Amino acid sequence: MLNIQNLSAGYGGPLILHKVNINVKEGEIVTIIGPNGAGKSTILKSIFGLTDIKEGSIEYFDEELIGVKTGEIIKRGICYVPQGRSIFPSLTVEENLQMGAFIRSDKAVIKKDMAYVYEKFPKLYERRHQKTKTMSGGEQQMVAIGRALMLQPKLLLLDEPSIGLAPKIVCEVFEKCLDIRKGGTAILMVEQNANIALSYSDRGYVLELGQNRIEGSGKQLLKNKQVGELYLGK
Amino acid sequence: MPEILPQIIWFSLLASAIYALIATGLTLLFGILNFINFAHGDFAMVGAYVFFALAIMLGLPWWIAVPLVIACCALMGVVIEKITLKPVRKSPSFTPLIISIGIGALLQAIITIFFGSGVKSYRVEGAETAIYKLFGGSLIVTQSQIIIIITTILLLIGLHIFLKHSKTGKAVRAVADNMEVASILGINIDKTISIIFAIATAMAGVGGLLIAYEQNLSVTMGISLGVKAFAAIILGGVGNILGAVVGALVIGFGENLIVGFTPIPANFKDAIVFALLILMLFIRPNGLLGEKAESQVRK
Repeated sequence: MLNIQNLSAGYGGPLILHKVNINVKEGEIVTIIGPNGAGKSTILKSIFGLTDIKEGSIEYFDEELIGVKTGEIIKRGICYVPQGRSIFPSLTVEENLQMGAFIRSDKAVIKKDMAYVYEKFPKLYERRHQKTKTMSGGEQQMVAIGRALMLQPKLLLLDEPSIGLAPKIVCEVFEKCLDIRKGGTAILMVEQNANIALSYSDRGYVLELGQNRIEGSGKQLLKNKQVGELYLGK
Repeated sequence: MPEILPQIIWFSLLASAIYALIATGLTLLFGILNFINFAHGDFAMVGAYVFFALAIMLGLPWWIAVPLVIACCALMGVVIEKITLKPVRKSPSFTPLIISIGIGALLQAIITIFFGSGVKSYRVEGAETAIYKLFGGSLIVTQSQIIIIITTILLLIGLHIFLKHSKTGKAVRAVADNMEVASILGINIDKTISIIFAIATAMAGVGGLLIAYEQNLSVTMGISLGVKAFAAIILGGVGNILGAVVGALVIGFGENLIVGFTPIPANFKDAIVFALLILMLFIRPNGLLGEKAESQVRK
């Protein structure tokens, strides 16, 4: 469904990505791992048009995404959860979710989407009137993911979903990813927490200095000696 | 209980109402763009003069003139933002701040060219305003003062409903919270900022015409208004609408009660405002309703 080819991009200055290739098939969970500064987040940002792309293509269902406006990208079914606490802290849980469906105007559909998100995240329903700044880091991450699910995307982009979370909560987040995939949403995520992320992934890519290094199934990468030494602390 | 108390409370409320109208706009702009708009008092001044031109010079009835003032001020805000502030949106916040000082000076100059620098008044010679005496004559209230209070309350309630319950209002708060995330959800940032500028300048314009209705117009009237609105939002907690209203009340009541009950003369009102402000910065730097500034370091 998503096919990134020969992508070179940066933020105006020197290039960060050099001819990167990534693809995601429908219903897959794909993880990009690699050291700090490898350009992992830059890939996700490029999909959303937040970088300067020098060459390459990003095809989504055989249509070019480069140059497409954010609103249109979302409408086509890609949603993005940026790194960190990407919630609106002074808004309630419900208001955060409503913002996820901002591009929609049909209230009945929004209601249905919200019911879907609450079904996936019952905890959020209990706290729907709570301001998100008063919630824990894990709950905030759930709000951010829930918000991205409001449009029932075909592809969900997650930038370091486990960052700053306690180990138990990290597992919870990845369990949610499996659950989301069951709903028909493919996931492309970037993770520092390579061990656990790969164990939940169908496939993985190792990125280094903005270039593809190794790719394979989640299991293969976990067993791979080189990957183990470099990124899994084995 | 001194006899002048009801009158002083009434004057305090009037002053607070005007300050609140200007301060809420200022705090909205700060919330979303992270800069203090030093031209905000001058937006109010322009509103007062536009009303003067329409209602006094052209003789339009108020129910036509007021909506036109609102429309003119809103348009002015949107155009000024597009031309001067949008190009520097990514700059450090002192850039828009300095620009806003320039805008203020420019607006004063333009108004002076068209209207001259002399003091003007809405009052027509010989016309009488309705006056009501309450509490056995110890409280005198004019019709225009009642209009000021009612207008302010309606506008503030309207703003609250807009921000809390409308889709656009929620988007405004979302953009104020996190502009980058708002944009990846398909929220149009430019449009949202334009809406906020329109609302903030329109409210300032209404505040300006209301205060001119009660007092007089002068090209420099915006300076003192801007300073008081600034003090109000610092007192209440920057970026917080309720804080701006609370700050406006503290300043409105503070200056009038102190002038009314102490030997301090009335022309020290501005000094009192700043004394309150400095005191506040010592005791609670984040303002009455402000929250502790979040640590920049990610845990």
